[in-house]
Amino acid sequence: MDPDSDVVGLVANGDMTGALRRLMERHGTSVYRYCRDALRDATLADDVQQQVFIAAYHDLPKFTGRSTLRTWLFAIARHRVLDAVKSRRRLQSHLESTGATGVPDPLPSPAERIDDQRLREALVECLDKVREDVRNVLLLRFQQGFTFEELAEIFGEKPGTLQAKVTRALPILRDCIENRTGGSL
Amino acid sequence: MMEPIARIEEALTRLGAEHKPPVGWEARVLAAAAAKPKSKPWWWFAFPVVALAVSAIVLFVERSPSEQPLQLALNVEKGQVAVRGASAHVGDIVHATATGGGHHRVVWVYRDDHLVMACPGGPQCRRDGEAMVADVVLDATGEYKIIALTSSAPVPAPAGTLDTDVSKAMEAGASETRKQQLIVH
Repeated sequence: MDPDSDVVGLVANGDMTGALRRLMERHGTSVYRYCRDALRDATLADDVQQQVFIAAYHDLPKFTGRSTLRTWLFAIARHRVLDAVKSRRRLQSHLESTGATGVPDPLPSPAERIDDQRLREALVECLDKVREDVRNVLLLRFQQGFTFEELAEIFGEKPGTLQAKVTRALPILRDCIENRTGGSL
Repeated sequence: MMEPIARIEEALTRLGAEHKPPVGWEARVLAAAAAKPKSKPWWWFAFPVVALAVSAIVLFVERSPSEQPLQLALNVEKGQVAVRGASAHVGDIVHATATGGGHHRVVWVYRDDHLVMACPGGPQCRRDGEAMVADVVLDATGEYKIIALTSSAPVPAPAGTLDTDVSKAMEAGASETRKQQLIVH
C-alpha cells in the first residue's frame, strides 16, 4: 500500500492545496537533498525543488498509481534535475572559459584509514567525476533508499541494468576517494 | 571493521543530511501553484498572425540596430586616466560597453556572483550611439563579472545570482553571451 495514499485521497476529493501541502511536508527535505547533491548548487537546487512540487501539483490529477507517489515524485525530480543540468551546460558553453576553478587535490597523507569527515568530502568531489546518470542512480539508491525496482520506474531502465551501473560505480568511487585522500578505506 | 564499499554506501546514505530547504519555500510553491493562467480573450488567437505581420513590416522598415556580433569591452577609469585591463581598485569606474547583437541587449554586473547593477534601467546606464554603456563605480573589493546578453525576445529581469539569471535568460531565448572579469583590489 502506498504510504501517500491519503494524498491521492485528497486529490480525489478536490483538495489540491491540501494534497500539495502534505506532499511538501513529507518529501520536501528529501527532494531538496537529492537536488542539492545532484546539482551541487544551493540556489539552483532551491529553484528545481520548487519546480518539482509545482509540476507535481499540476500533474497530481493524472497520477495513475502505477508506482508509489514518492517514486512518481522523484521521477519528476530526476527530469527537472536533468533539465537544469542541460541548461547549465548550455550556459557554460556560451560563457567564456574563466580558467581552471577546480579545487586542487589535497596532498596525499600517509596511507591511513580515512576518517568519516574526509570520506564525505572526497565522496562529494568524486561523485562529480562519475557520469550524470550514474550519479543520479547512486543518490536515489543510497541517499533516498529506493529499491532497484523503484529506480526502474524512475529511470525507465531494467532493474538489472541499474544494479550493474551501481556495482561498477562503487569501486570507481573507492579508487577516486583513496587517490584523493591518500588513505585507505 | 566495515568493508570499504559498505563504507561508501553508508556515506552515500548520509550524504547531504545537513541540507535543508530554505525557509519559506513551501509558501513560494503554494503561491506559484495558486497562480491561475489568465483566460485568453477571443482576439488572442488572432494575435500571432497580427504579430507576424507587424514583425515583418518592422524588419523590413527598420533592420536590427546592428547585425554585428555582440561585443563587450571594458575601460577602467582611474582618476582622469582610462586604461584597458583586467584589474582595478576600489574607487575606479569601469565603463562596460556592449555593441552589436540583436534588438534586446542587456548588461549585468555581478560582484562575487551577486547582482550589483543591471542595464538598461539603472541610473548608471546610458546609450552612446548604438552602444549600451554601463558606468560601474567599483565601491568594494571582489571579483566583478560583467555579462552582456542579446536576444530577439525580451530578456527576463535578473533576480540577483549570476548562474540563475543567465540560465533563465538563455531559456528565454538569449542567443549570445559575452563575459568579462575584473578583480578589484
